[in-house]
Amino acid sequence: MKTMGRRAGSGARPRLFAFAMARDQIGGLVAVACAVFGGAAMVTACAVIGETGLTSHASPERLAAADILVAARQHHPVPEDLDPPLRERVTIPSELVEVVAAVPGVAAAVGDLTFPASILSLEAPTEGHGWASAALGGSVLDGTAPEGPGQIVLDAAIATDAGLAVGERTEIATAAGTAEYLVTGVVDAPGSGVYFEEATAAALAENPGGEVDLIAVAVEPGASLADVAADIEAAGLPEGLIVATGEARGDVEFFTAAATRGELVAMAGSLSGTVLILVGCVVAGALSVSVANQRRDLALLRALGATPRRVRRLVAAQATAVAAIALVPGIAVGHLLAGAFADALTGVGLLSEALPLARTPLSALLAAALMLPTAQLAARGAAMRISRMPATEAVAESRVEPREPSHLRVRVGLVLFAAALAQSLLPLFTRSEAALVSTATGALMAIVGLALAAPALVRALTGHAARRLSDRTGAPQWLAVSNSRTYALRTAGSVTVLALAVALTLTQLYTQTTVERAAAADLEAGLRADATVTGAAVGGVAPAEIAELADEPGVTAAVPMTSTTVLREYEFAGDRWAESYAAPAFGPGAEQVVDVRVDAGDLADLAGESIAVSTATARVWGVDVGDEVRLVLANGVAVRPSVVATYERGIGFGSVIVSTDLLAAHSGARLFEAVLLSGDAAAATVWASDRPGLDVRAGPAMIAAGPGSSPERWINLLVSVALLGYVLLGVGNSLVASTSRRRGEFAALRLVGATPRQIRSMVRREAVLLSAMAIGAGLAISVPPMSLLGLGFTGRPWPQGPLWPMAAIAAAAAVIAYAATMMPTRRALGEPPAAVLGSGD
Amino acid sequence: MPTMQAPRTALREDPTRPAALLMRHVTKTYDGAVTALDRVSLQVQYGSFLAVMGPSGSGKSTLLHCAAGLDSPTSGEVLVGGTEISRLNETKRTLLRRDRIGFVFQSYNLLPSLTVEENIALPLRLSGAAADRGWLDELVARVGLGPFLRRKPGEISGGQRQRAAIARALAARPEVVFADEPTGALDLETAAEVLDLLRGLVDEFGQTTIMVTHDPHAAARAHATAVMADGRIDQYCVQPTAEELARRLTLLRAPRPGPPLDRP
Ligand SMILES: Nc1ncnc2c1ncn2[C@@H]1O[C@H](COP(=O)(O)OP(=O)(O)O)[C@@H](O)[C@H]1O
Ligand SMILES: [Mg+2]
Repeated sequence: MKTMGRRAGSGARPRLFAFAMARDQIGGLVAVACAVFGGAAMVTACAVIGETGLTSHASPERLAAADILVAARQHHPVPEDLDPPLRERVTIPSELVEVVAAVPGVAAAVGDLTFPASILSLEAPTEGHGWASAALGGSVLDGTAPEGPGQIVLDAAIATDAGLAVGERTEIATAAGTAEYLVTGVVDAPGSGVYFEEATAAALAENPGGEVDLIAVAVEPGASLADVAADIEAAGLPEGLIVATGEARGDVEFFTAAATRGELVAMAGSLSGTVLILVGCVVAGALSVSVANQRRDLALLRALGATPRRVRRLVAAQATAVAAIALVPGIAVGHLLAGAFADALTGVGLLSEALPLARTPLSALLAAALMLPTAQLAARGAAMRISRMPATEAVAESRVEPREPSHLRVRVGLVLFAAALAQSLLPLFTRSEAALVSTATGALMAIVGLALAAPALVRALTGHAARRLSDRTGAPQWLAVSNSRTYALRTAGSVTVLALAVALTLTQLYTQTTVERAAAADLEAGLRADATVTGAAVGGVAPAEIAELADEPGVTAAVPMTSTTVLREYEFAGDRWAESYAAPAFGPGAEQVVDVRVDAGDLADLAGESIAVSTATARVWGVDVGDEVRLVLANGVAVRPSVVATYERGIGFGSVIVSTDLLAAHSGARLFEAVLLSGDAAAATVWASDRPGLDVRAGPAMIAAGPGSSPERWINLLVSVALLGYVLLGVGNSLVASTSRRRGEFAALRLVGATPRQIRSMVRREAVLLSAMAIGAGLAISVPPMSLLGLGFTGRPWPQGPLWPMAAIAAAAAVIAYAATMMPTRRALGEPPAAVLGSGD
Repeated sequence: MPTMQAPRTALREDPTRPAALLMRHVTKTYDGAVTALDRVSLQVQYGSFLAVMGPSGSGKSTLLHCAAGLDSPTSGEVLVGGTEISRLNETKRTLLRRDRIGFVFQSYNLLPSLTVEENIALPLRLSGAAADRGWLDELVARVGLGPFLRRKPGEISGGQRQRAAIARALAARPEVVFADEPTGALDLETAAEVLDLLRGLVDEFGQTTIMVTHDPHAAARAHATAVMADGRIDQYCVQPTAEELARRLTLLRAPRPGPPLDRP
């Protein structure tokens, strides 16, 4: 400290000085560095995902030879919100092909189609297209183009895999059934497919009104691509079409990959909100510890004539320097994290494999641009009080916190607890997603409430413990209790953050597992099929085969099933909104193979333009049996089906069940995921035995449509586990730094006769007290709402799911609290006490 | 060997009783380079009050730390109440300190989370000994902290904190109290009061006390003064006046070649 004074007196530049001081304050600064490191890693990962969503394109493959692609937008326009993606192809009128072909500079315009067409002998589903789309690029054809309904051209890869050559015949399964085709040619074209003559392709695609998926355009040699594209746009195309060139063509060809991009942006956006708040808190926490560690030095600076501003600038410069160093490895780890995260997203289907990750310097810049100012601001905030104090007071300030927890703060906290409890009661009354949302917001409220009330609670609890102390209580216990009590504010900080981590993770986890169990219970009780027919090798079961199957003796009902999504448009506060629902579709006769526990109406009426709605959803929508509902199908077609039934098992079967007739009437050829049978399973097995590609399984197939199957939930859980790790790291850091600061206290204790063992025992008891309060609070605000959720959704009043994570998280919190206090204590006890006190600490 | 004899020897005349503190040829070197203590020998009888003076860096604190078992000497022997402490391990030394030694430091070192009363009784609590209420009450009354017992150290003045620290040092009835510049952080008037208190405790309770100080006036309150220079006890004065001590110190502070280094 004497040397410091000299340096300050000589007017050293603040930055140099910052480093000189930093050497003496390693503990606190390591905490800051760790917080920034973790923060930078998470921000970078979010940024990479977000940037991928914004800028990454799938590259065109099969349609790479087309210079321009004209297609409909794959989003449903919603004025006041993000446009939800449409997951099935939005088709366009075939007349537009002529319009585009007539634009000057267009050499050829082809209406492109995609439909299921699988070669049986290949045992893997493939897709069919019109021949003209392959001919567009002038690919090399071995053989001749298909010229009639019975002819096909294969791309070279498929021909090799299937072992087919020109002139051979093969059976192909389409939505129209299985038929034999002659291979007239093999084409060496990019992408893969089975190519049909145009009229056959149109017939097999079954698009209503003969519409096409998109228009592929070849531009005349010498014509300017940009000009032609502009001319096409100006050629009087209807609203909502896009004219894509270059890389953007990939988004048109792989529209499902493109559709997930918007969701990536939304996910990165909502994630980065949480991440930034947490990172801000952890960095600020680390900095306040670091500043507290430097209190004496800073006060001395003030005494030597440094202005408050200069002190703040010094602390900020120091924090920024440390942050800048920690950023580099943080960003590198962030890229690794983004890769792992992307794998997880791909695993659950939220990220298409066709989309490459956008790894540009932008994410690193963003991380730097966010983390450095965060560190600056947090440092200035942390140094505010000490920098403003009169210099003498700052030197003399007692280490005991003078502040009593304010009454208002406690009262607001208690009100929030009550509100949280009320919110978590909703699952008892409605078994719906609304109840889940209510439970989740309740948990957040309880956490905020805890943060507010914690100092008072800690004081009350330790006060209670203190009253139970007697003269015969061992010194370590007695000291531990009075320390925790005196430093209630400090203790409460660590308790709150640990409890937050415990509660948040448990809430996320048990919400997910409870919903999953409830969904499984719904499905187990509700799926009544005697057998299930699937066609994994050919992409599904064709409608024609279902009709055959239904006529088979011994089969009383054969009900097709597939999954889709529907959007419901509604008005709220004068604006139009749309909400997306994953929905199973069942064919006529559903009532014979599923029991969704009908509440009103009759599932037997699910035919034609009709839907069934879960009771909870019907209540939210404000509809009843017999009402018409405005929906948008997954291909963007607006429909007005009527509600024929409401049902209770919405957790397993989803909010909406659609009639397959509704899909058939408004979209093109489709195979069904499964056919649910009632009757004799053996009869179906006999029937399927001479139909390659179809499998029969006794009993019902599981379907995944309800909220229990939502992959976002697992991603949320994954993210919250990552955040948990970060928060624990933050708490650990703060505890290490604040324990290191107690060297003087330990030395003083040893001088009055405390053995190292007694001091270790005291600190151990403090850690036990701290983790007991944290785990207790964490469980107290997460277990009751999760139990209520369990009761409401599954009838069992405890958290539904494996119980070991509860023990594991509690153990993690305890281990962190224990290690982060015991390690620095052991280190402090290694020094002779006289040396510590002699150093003026 | 300078031997410190309490003036009121009648009180404690017992030839079989060992000295309160006995140091024999104590040497302490740091990193094998700095010799902070150089074969120092010292004997302090029960009931006496010794002051240790000397220029900065002459080894006063080191002497105190070695004598009190806070630090172990490189060589030599230290006996407190007849018990050899220089070769004990840290835990044994702590237990011995707890029972036989009291400390008073310039920076008080009270625990901020405990009340004044709890701070004073802390050594007893740590040793698990039953608190001698009568003794504690007498002590509190003697140091004049009666009205402040329920306050935290942050809520009383510097002089009061040092009184609390002195009471704490005496709580376990130690054989020797060590004080390292106990008045260093206090203003003149408060310092005088604290010195009065220390001297009073020696006179009334026969408390053996060894005090390091810079202030000749403070040293003059003791029975005798050891003046240190270069890690040795340079002079030993019995009942010196403040003026005499000041003169001797000035002589010592005359320019000299370098710090004391290893000597054979
Ligand atoms: N921990 C240590 N490491 C190295 N040298 C030390 C240490 N403590 C004290 N010294 C040295 O020992 C000598 C005596 O120090 P000290 O006993 O503190 O002197 P005083 O208390 O008289 O000022 C000094 O030269 C000092 O620099
Ligand atoms: Mg000293």
